[in-house]
Amino acid sequence: MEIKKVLKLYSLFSDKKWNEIDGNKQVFENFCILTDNLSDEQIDLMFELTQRYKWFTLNDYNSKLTKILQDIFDNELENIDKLILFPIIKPEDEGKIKSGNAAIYMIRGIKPFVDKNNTVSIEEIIEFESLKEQNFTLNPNELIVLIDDYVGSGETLKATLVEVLKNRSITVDKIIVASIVIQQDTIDFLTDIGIKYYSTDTVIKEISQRYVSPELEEKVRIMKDIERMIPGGSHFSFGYEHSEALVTLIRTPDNTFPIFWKEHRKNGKKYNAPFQRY
Amino acid sequence: MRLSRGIKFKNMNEEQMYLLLNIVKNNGDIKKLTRLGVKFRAIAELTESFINSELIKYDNGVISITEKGLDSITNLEGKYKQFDKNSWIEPKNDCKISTIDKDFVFLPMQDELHF
Repeated sequence: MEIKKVLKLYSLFSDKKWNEIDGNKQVFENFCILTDNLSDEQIDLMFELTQRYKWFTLNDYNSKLTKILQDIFDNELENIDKLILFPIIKPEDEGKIKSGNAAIYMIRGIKPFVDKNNTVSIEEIIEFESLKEQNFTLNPNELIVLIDDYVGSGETLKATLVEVLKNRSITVDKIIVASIVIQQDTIDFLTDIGIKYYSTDTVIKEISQRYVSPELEEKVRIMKDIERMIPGGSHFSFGYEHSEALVTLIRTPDNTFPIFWKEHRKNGKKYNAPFQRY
Repeated sequence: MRLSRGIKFKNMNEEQMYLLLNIVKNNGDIKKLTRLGVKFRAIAELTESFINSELIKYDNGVISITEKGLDSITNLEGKYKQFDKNSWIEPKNDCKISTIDKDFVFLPMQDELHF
């Protein structure tokens, strides 16, 4: 590997202030090893994508969730004095520890430090069973807040909505979605069905919605070439549900391009990904 | 540690510095350093400190050695230059496989195939 490539990557880490994040050394080593295994045109694309990559730490969670909660308190408390928090989760994943549960726990800690916190109470519900019509009736002074740290293609959100809306006391105008990151396509979906959302970061599909032809086809081809190095990569090609995300949160969502979080193979040898998930 | 007149580097291995300067001079590959166990981060930080000390320069994505860097190589050459020509090319021991009996039918593991 040429030294200028290491230096370029090092400058990129410095510019993005990633050198200040705990655990960055391992990420940098794995990034360099990955770079060493790529061709020049593949490296150029990876650098381009990495420039737009978002790596959120727990400190970021604190400030971003505080902002979201403050925005909700500022805009939603007319005739409302109780928020019911529920994680964005697929029914089949109930009982597992998911990011939505973690975000709810953080909000529990953040709430006392947000303005107007005394004017609203918060209830946490984490099981669909507790939201069923025979067990729960939403009162006019209450609002359901569906929580997660990342909403990508919206599949999980839609599965949650389908279950929650089975309770006839809950209507779309009594639901809001709160997530640190939301993909633009999902925002469009929420707007279409009349559900309000709160987030700090909106993301797009970072190749197909970023470039136009002929550059688009060229970038798609290069990424497909890169993904050939990932064993089983076709299942997550361009990220889960083709989300094309460039995000690492507490954990990297599988919506992110898999080359960033899934191990790759070169000449029969396997290498760890920069932001490995496991 | 003193590498060149007037320039000090803390916690740096002098041999690694010599190797890095030579890599820059010859536009070589950093594998020689990574094989010694030097992390990419350490290589990047050392390169940055060399740029700050004007031992090497970095202009428009091109890295090259300076006169001062060449002086430093000369200063360290006596100590670290490999004069034994046999040590210029190292055997690639990690690729060596054990002898297989002539009657042994070799079936590679599927996940070890290179294609």
